[in-house]
Amino acid sequence: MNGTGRVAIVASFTALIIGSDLALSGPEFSNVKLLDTLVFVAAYAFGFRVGAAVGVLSETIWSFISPIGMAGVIAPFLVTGELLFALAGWAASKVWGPRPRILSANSLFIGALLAVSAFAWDLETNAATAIIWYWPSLGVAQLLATMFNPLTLLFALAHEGSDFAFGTLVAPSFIRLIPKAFGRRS
Amino acid sequence: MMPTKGAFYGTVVLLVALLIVSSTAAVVYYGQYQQASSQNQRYVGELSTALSSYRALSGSFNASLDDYSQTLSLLATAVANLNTSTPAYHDASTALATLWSSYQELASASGRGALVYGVHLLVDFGNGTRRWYNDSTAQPGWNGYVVSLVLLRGNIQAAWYPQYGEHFVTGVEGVSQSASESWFVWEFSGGSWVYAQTGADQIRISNGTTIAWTLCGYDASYNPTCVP
Repeated sequence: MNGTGRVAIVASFTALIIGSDLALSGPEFSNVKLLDTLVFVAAYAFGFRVGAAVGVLSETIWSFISPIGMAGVIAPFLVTGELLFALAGWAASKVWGPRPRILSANSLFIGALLAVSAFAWDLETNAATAIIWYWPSLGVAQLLATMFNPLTLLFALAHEGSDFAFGTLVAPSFIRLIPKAFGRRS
Repeated sequence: MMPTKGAFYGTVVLLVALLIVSSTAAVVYYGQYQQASSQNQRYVGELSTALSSYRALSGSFNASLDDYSQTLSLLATAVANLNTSTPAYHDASTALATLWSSYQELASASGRGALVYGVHLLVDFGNGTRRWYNDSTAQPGWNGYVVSLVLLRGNIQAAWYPQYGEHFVTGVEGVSQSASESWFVWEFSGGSWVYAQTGADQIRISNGTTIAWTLCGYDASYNPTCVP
């Protein structure tokens, strides 16, 4: 695929992500986002560079236009965290091939991989929260307490759970269908 | 008997004199009338100008009230999205309650009142001490965290997790969590207290919303072991 095609894919995915983020921005969908799944799908179907570009671009935009307010100094950490999903999607494509089976054990593995990536993203951003919160007097104990505070895992559960559900139910279908929509036969 | 000529002239002179006197009085009073009328016109003009000024002032006051309301809303949104360790957060979170009271007083004085939701807040310290903030008010659009912050006059200790859009509350009214107890937020719904599965930031406020903060222990699944 040429550069123009890749730009079109990145733009389309980013638009889809921002639109779905806005649609799911109400409190009833707290921390439920299609963003991670779509970054994963982009990387799975079109390679790490495309997935990373989608993740960086969409998370950067979302950090500024989110209805709950701008992310502020944590934004670079949120953007960096999205690379985890791109990396996971690219790695998964090497393991399960270009056409993962829908509603199969493969689907569960993809869901689990997304949930694990979401957990890693949560840890990374929790670490960033600790850095910002305690700066410049951050200690290891404070860092670990903020990263692994069980009571804040409640915030992350919806994120990880929804990523697992989207990864199991949606991602395999997207991986098979979206490249076709862009005229690529896999 | 015919009146004499002298009497006739005398009567005429008297009548002429009366005419002159009454005319003079009329001229004097007419002058005074004109003066009073002129003054009256000036007062009417001044009153009219004052009325216009009052109406303009009243319009400006109402516009200022609207701006005040919008500013409060923006401030509340800013406070809800600020890193809680920053001085700006500390200043704004304590000022918000005072500003909210001041706004309501001004809106009430204007005769139109403020558009508010009635809310209730309970703080249960877990040691038998319960503090109710009944019949309080909140601005439409505030979430559960901002309502708590305003009603408790900024006396909440919390860490802001921007990635989740949530505050993790570690202390309320100077009472901090411990190794075995933490603060949990509840919403009164359907006749019973419901533990908020997300956080106070995700609680939507409507008229009559009742929120509770409880300090209590939790089980292995991190669910609270108490009910307000």
